[in-house]
Amino acid sequence: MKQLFQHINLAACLLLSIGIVGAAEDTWEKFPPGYSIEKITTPVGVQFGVSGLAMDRHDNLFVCTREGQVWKFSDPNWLLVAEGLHEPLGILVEESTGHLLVVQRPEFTRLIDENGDGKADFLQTISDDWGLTDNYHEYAFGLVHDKDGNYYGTLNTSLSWPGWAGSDRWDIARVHDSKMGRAAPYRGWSFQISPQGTFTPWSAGLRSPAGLGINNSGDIFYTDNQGDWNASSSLHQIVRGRFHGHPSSLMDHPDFAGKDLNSISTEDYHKMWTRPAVWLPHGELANSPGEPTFDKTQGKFGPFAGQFFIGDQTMSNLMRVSLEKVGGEYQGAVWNFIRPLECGVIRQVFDSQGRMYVGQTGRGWRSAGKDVFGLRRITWDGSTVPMEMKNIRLTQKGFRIVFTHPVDEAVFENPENFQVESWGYLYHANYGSPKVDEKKLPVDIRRAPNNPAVVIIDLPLETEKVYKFTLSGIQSQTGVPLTNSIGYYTLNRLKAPR
Amino acid sequence: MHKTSIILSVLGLMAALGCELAIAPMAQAQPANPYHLKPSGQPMVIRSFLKDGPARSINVGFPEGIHLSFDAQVPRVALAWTGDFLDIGPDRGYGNANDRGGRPAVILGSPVSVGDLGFPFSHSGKEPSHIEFLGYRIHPTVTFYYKFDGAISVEHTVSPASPGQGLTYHFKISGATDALSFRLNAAQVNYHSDKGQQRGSHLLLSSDEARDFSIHVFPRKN
Repeated sequence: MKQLFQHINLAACLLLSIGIVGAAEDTWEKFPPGYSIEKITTPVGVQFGVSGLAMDRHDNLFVCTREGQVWKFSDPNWLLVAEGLHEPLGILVEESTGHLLVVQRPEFTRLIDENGDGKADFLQTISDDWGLTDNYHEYAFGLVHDKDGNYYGTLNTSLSWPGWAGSDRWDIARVHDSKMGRAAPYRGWSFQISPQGTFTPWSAGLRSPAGLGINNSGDIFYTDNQGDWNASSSLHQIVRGRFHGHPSSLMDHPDFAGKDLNSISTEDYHKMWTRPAVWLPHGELANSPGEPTFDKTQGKFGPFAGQFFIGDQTMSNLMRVSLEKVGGEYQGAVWNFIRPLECGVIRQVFDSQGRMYVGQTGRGWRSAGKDVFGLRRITWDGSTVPMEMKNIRLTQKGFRIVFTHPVDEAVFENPENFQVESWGYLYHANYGSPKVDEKKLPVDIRRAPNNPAVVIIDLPLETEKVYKFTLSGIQSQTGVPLTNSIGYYTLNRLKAPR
Repeated sequence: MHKTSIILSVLGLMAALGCELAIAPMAQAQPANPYHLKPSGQPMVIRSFLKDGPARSINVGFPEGIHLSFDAQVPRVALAWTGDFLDIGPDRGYGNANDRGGRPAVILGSPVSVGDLGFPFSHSGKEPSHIEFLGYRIHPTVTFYYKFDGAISVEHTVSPASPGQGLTYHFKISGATDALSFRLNAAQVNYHSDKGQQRGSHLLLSSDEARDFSIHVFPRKN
């Protein structure tokens, strides 16, 4: 929390600086040309901490809130669909029935409108097969579904350290003096729920997995928040049986039944750990990331189809992630996309026109910006292509940065325009990790021979490192300046030699 | 911090942030404190953690002034109280930008016994098994649905008893093939039913009687 307030103060100072000195090249505020933002008026007088967004086939937007309500937005009208839910943090429209599905702290629920007035009359429990105490940290997040009709969600760890929790009654399965533990079954797990309602624990080792997304290959991802056993905020692929790093959840793993989790060394947990696909560097890009939303708009939202957008509750920004598979596993790059959005961002959904609705809440963790909650809609104008690093791809000798426009040749006259540094993180029970083994790297830069939008950067490659690319003076051949000039690539695996 | 101070702090902070004032989340007439819920007109059904109550509490407030906590973990009416309904502020962080909320809501009135002895039903003299909560209906009545022993389904409608400060449970049970027992602590409550035979803390019902019966439960006045 202390770090959070330090960050907010820093952000406030930076914003103030922007106001004083005007638009320096690398301002904290980032807003790509071609995009516009509308603030949607939420129901008047209602606390509206958006915690889930879903869209039906008629472009009706459904919103669940941390305050336990579900609303339908048929622009510009709002209808209260349900209330009295227990902090729902995910919502979907059931394709086969049109019913709403929500995941709330105690259960996965179907909301059924029986009399056709648009409001839920029957709240059907689909599954409640996970443990729950009255520990505030025991959130349940969701939701995505796969092509077979299975649903997926994630369960937060318990806040177990008595020094923070204010009680020792949740002090169960803290490992190596970590802050979070497991006060009830399956805390720290992802789960699958079948169309028949069968609950299956899916992967373990999650810490504070505040959102899920699924790509067009059917691969499911979640974000985790920096904290104990998680060096920095992060994006992970969920695979059945995988261990994502936080050991408390292993108390419910059959292979660890009856074992003392504190007798297992950090080194042994490290060997079991599947690293995140992408680190979201703490304090620079993210503090508390929300759900990854896959851009399935086929270009209606700009030139980033097939990428993920992730919001952050603390920094009130929207990030963009480009993934590639190397050695059979996802890894890739992340950038800021828009910053700030005046309130924490944790949920996004696209409508059929490719407009992105952004769900916002800042209560409790605070967030950059003036609002405590909000709903915004981001629209691309359909023609103005911002100058951005569209993706970063690993090569045998370094990286290829693909820009959205051909790059102005003048940039190559000064190698200092491409600064690259790398670092690693520690895997341990401590709260977060400093950057370790930081290096400023020598680079060899050139334009790709057959593609003026591609820059090739050769440099020393090491696995298990984050590579930070800080570009300056970059513009397109038509004079469009680069909006977001810093990118981060997580290198877990090297390309196999040819 | 005193509640009044908290409210003033919240309002001050929200005003400083240029926010609209928070009002109650429920679409009913509200008392002055927007987080102190008091049903009027219709029952209010709201899930939250509940101080000294179940984690999976479904709190039901009636305009008649008696309220209950239904436990969706071990389905039954676990608690009841009279007076005002609920302070939901701890769950909602009182709308304060600094407050994560998620803490147990607090009963506002005075507890009254419901004679809770845990899951109330047993079938054919056996301990119940495979207890499963199935959901609840809020319209036109507040009705909970659950099953046990794999095949016995229970519809459990709750309402204020009339007259007096008690509760009426209306049950519809299907799937029973033998006698059922419904238990509650007769040392703490008076109860009477329109079906079955009362034996102290046990109401004994044939499978046919169990299809549709009501129990009126009143706290004993010691």
